[in-house]
Parts: sequence; C-alpha cells; structure tokens
Amino acid sequence: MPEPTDDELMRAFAGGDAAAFESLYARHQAALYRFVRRLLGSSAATQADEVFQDTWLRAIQARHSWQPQGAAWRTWLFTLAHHRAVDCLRKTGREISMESDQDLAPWEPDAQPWAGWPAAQSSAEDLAFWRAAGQRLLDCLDGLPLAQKTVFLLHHEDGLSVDELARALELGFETAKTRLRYAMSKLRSCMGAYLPQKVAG
Amino acid sequence: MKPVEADAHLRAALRHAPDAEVAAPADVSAQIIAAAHRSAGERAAPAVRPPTARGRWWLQPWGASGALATVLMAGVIGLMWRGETPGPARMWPRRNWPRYRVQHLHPRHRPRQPKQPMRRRLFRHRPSLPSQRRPQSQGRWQGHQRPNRRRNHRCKPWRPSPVKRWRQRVRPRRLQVRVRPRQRPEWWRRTRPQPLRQRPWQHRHSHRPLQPPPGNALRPARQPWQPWQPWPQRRGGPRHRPATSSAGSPPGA
Repeated sequence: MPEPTDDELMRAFAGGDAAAFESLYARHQAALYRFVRRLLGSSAATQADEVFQDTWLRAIQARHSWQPQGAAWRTWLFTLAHHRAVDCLRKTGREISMESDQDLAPWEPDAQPWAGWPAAQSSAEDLAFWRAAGQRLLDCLDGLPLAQKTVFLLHHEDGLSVDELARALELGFETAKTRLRYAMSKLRSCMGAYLPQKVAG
Repeated sequence: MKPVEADAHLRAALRHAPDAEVAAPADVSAQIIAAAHRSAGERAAPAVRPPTARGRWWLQPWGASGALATVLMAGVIGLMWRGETPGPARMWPRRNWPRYRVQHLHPRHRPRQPKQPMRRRLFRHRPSLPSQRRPQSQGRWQGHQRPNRRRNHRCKPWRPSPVKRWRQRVRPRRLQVRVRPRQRPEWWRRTRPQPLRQRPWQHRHSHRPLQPPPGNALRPARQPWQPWQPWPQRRGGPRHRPATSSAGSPPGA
C-alpha cells in the first residue's frame, strides 16, 4: 500500500484524524527543525523552539482553510516557518533586509570555481572532514543575509527548484536566481578559505 | 534560461553538519501533538467563503468612498447638464399631461339600466293570480320576438354651452365628475345626526359649561326707565330729573 501524500494526510487531519497529523509531524519535523535552526543562526538559536512550535501551531490552525495550490505541502510548511522566523527576528530588534542591493546587480560567476573538495567516502577521515566542513558551513551561513540564507537552504536542503523558490517566497524568478547564486558564491568563498588547509592537512 | 545547479559539495557539507541529526525537543513535540489532538476533536468552524471579486472591491477601504464619490459626481454632472434645478414643474411638463376624455352629460341624465336576465326577458308575463292570466300564447316562449325597448334608453350626449366649451378649451379641466347626492332610504336619514336645534350651552359636545346660564342672563342688564315708574331713590338724591310733563306721569307718581 503506497504511503499517503502530504496533501492527503492534511486533508485527513482537517477531517478530524489526529493520526494523520502525527504522520505528517514525524515526516517533516526533523527537517523543519533543522531549517529553523539554520535560518535563525547561532545568535538566535534560543528562539528556534518557539518558532518551530509556532509554525506547527499555525499549520494546525490553518487545517480547514488550507488548499493545495500547486506547491507541495512541505514547501508551504517551510514558507510558513520562514515567515515566522522573519517575524521573530524583527521582534528581537534585528534589522532584516529582504531586499538587498545585490539583487539588482548582475551576478558575476566566479572565475575559478573551487574544486578542492575531496570525494565523499565512507572512511573515517573523510567523515571527520565532512563533519568539520559542515560546521564550517554553518558558520559561513551565519554571515549570509537572511534572504540569501533562506533561498540557499530551501534549494539545497529541501530540493526546491528556482521556479518553486520564486513562487513560494513570492519573488521574481531572476531575484530568486540571483540570491541563490550570490549565496553559493559567498559560501564557496567562505569554505574555500578554510578547506584547503584541511585538505592539505 | 540556464538553471542553477545545486553545489554537490555544499550539499554534502550541509548533510554532514553537526545539527543534521538534531530533532525537535520532546516536550515541544508533545505540546504540538497535544494541540493537534485537541483541535482534531473540535468541530470544524464554518468555512469562510472568500469574497468574490465584487465583494473584494467593496471591502477595500476605497471601495465605498469611490462609489459615493461616483454617485455625487454623477449628480453634479447631471445638474450641470440639465441647467436648472429639479422640481415637479419640470419633472412633468404641463404639455405632457394626459388629456382625459371629458364626457358631458345632461343634469337629468340617468345611467343605462342593466339588462334584465334572459329568463325575465323571455317570460315577461308570469301572472301569479288566475284572474291575471293572459292568453296561453303570451305565457310561452317569446324569445323569437323582438323585445320592447325603452324609449330614449340611450341618451344623446349632452353638449355643454359654448361658454363652457370655450373654457374647457382654454383651461382644460383634467376630470369632471358630477357628484350627486346619493338616494338614501328614510331610516338611514333618520339615523344621521340631525342639525343643531338646541341651545349652545345645552349641546352635548359644546365647550360651554353644562350649567344653564343665570336667569337674568337672558334679560337686558337694565330695564329702561319708563315715565310711569317711580324714580329710583338714590343715595344723595337725584341729580337731575328728566323733564316730563305732568300729564304723562303715571297716576301713582
């Protein structure tokens, strides 16, 4: 018997089936919690639980009014979490700039894309390397603007295409594409400054 | 449109990040699941139907204001185009008044009597007493005979005088209705309120008091002095006495 889709589970939950929500929660809670933590960064990590809980509560409250509108339910949930994170950061007094000046400038690709990454293998050394690279990536993510961070995480973590990104975040296609390329360029630069030492070591 | 390829290395690093295996706290998960169970037990709230396009237009803050401004502007433009204030005299010009047909009837005109029912017309002679019986031929079917008609049962329309016709042409009256007092039976006339035959103070619905006036109210305040009456003795004596002849004085004076 095939697994029910997210839309079917949400419809069942709207009909009063609490077990359907438990399935939904078990399916997406880890990814959403990761997304919220990475989006808020280390400076606002203490509010990740609040944003995470608020996101799910809003999804519960919107069970009757929710209608599948072309996007996946997971995308809708992550977009909800993004809006809640923005609200939380604004409430704490942080300056959130969703419109960066870099959106208007044409993106210049890197002349030399860094290719010093080792192949991902299962050896213990490589695993330690990737663990360190992951930690470094999280540090680099803290330096990204929220807009670029959101686009990068949804693209690489959730697997959304640029078109889906633009529709989910209500952005123009070129804007979403530019933000994504800027984020990847910055992260590559940030990682490249760190990884060669590791690779060399 | 060149698609943006995801960086495999960045994705691998993201997958191996230290928080890759982190999960939501147990208490938070328990609260969320409990909230879901609570809401699943509740009845579904009535779905709010999204407003239509027209409803959304009215719900806009500028919707009602725009409609009111449109109506006012249309009124102002209409007044400017009309060039005069509206009023009943202009709303219905006199030249467009309907012309009612005026039928002038003679004052002694009687309306046409309704026809008798067919049965009464065909069997006119139905004597009740044997002595009043007519010949057998007259009591039978007479529908083939032409009924007698009343003379002048259709009155010739009375033509008013030339003066009245001229007045009607100059200043036409919209409708002429001749009101004739209706013929009432005697008992109906007796039940109607009669004309006032009582004194005003005796009338029931008068504003005057119900008490009769004093006895001297109907008399003049002072009777004129007559020569044969004794002169009233006033205090201080009479000031003057009218000159009367002794022949005219009464015998007792």
